[in-house]
Amino acid sequence: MDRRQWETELVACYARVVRALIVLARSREQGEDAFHDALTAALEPGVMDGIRRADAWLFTVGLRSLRKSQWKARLDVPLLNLRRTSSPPTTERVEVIELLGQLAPRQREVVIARFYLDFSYEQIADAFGISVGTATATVSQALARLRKTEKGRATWTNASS
Amino acid sequence: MDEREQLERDGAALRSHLQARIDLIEVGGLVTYLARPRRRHRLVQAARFSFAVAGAALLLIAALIVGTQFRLSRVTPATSPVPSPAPIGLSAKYGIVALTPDGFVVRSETDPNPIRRIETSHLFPQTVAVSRSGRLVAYWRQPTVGEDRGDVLMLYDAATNADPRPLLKVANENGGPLVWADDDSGIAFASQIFRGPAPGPPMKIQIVEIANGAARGPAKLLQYQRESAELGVVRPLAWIRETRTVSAIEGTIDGVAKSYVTVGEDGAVKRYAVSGSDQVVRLDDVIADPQTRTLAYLVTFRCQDGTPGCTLVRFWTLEDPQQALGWQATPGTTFMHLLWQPFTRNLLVVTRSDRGRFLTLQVWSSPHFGSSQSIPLSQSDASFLLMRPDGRAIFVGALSGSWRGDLIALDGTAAPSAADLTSTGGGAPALSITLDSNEAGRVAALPPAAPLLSESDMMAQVRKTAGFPDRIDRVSASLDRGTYPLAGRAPTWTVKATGEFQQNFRGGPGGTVPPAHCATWTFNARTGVLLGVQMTDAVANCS
Repeated sequence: MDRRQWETELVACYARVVRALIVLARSREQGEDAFHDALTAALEPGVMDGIRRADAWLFTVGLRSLRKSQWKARLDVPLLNLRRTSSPPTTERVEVIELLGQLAPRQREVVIARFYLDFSYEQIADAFGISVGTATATVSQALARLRKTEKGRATWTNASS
Repeated sequence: MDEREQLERDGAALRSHLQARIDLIEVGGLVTYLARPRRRHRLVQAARFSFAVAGAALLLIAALIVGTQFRLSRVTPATSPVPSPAPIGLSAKYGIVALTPDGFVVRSETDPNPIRRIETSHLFPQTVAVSRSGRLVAYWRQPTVGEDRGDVLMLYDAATNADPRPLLKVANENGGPLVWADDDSGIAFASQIFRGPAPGPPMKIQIVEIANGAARGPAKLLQYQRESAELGVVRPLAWIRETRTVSAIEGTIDGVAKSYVTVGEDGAVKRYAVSGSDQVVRLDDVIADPQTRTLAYLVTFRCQDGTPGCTLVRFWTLEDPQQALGWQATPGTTFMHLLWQPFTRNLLVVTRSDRGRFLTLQVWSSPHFGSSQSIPLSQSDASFLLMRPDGRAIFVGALSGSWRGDLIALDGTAAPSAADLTSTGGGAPALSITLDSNEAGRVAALPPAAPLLSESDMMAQVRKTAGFPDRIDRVSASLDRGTYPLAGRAPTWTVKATGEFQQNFRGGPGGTVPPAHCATWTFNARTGVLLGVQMTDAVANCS
């Protein structure tokens, strides 16, 4: 990917990637930091040449950074939470956090990639280093798990009716 | 409906739901993610690295072209960070005290030639103390031939560079570590009756008031007594005039700190252990900040897996050691040095990566303990850390045949610059001083104590604490000004809020426990440090 193409895709996708990382982090600052890490990594020499799709790359690298920071954050709780800066929350956002909180971390990441960022199963497999079959199975299991819960039925299933 | 059909139907519904909800999250402009101060250094670092690689691989001219192209293409209107500031410069307003084998020399930052050479046999940095303004240097002089036995406390005015003047003599005693009062109105010092080699007799703590460069009356002996013969050293850390208290650290003659002591001018003494059998604290690693009234010290201990060398930083409120907090280094990182940044609520922590052995200067803003800003250091060993008296810049350097290092602006207004602090005739840089009287006056006019945080400060902090995904419905705050004068309670803010709090610490991180509906935060009112959080379901008496 050349510089011009990168910038065009970046402008188009960054907001969705940031939101996806915020939701997965359950923290605005951690999500933004993860996105920032990915953005910084993309500027390193030679990296951009190997990027095929900006949103997939940023999400994958940001997710990796997020996992690392969340692991470190376990030592920092509770004081780390003082560093967050955020706009006032709304009930809708809390609902999403609650809904996704019923999934295992990997399922949560895959669901966001599939249904919020619209990644194909091939792209998910590529990004997470898993097979396409595993990606499909993970999504199926996540949906089944959500469907079994009361909150799942009460929230997202209504959207289809 | 078969399984595949159900899956597709569920997927479509979930997609619709997630996109509708998540898209509500507000996101800043793209430029905000590149221009955030904490990360800016990494961008600079990445750019520098790209230039270095290009330079090694290509001819010089080709590297310049490629580098310029890369930089130009990176700085687009949509993504460019703020322009790099100019490097910080050395200033003739400030000088350096460099320790020599026979005393110390004083020089300007901009001129390696000493402007003053002072002989003294006391070579420890703790026996030379610089006033808060950076202008006055107090030190001990041994009696000259023909004088009565006993050290003389001397005062040197760096702004006038006049000959040093004697402040007082401690008859038949050796002078020990000393520290200025928080408002520069006096000096607290340790001394010891002259007699033979260590461990020797117990050390005393005395105070002397100073006005217009002279002592106001004789030194006053405080009612401090060591607890056991093992405690051969006591070092005053701070003298808070408002609380009439001298804070000190006691330890063994081999440099291991044992207990923190508060000694009141009225004779009250309180003592608190700082290290135990499994936790080692060095005397040199204990620092006190009279402005935020906080004690910090570095603890080395055996890690959980049995390997030695784990580190943590522990904080105490000077007047209330019960308010203790610890902050452990993350695996793979070691805390190396601690330093307070004057006239801020910041602690500077030098950390070392165990794998790469590279150093980082972390700026810990006390309301946000933990790194709020990280500055990569070019040295592999921070042999000297010299904070300018106004707290805006710091020298960090290593001994490598000469005293070279970096001058780093801590307020982010300038880029770091290389600095050589090697003095003509030698000397190890130890302290930064103020040579300009106007600059000294400006620094002296700054408040000696960090003001208590306001209710609005606390509210803002709580709203950050309970940010996304929490929700606050009602909130109220109350201030407890603490008790003085001696070792009472530090001032605290208590903030109570009702709402919905996902970060429910009763169950730890992970969100597996239901949200709480009442949260109570307690903060140190001077530093903003979070002292405790309580989450409950009952909303009665919660606001």
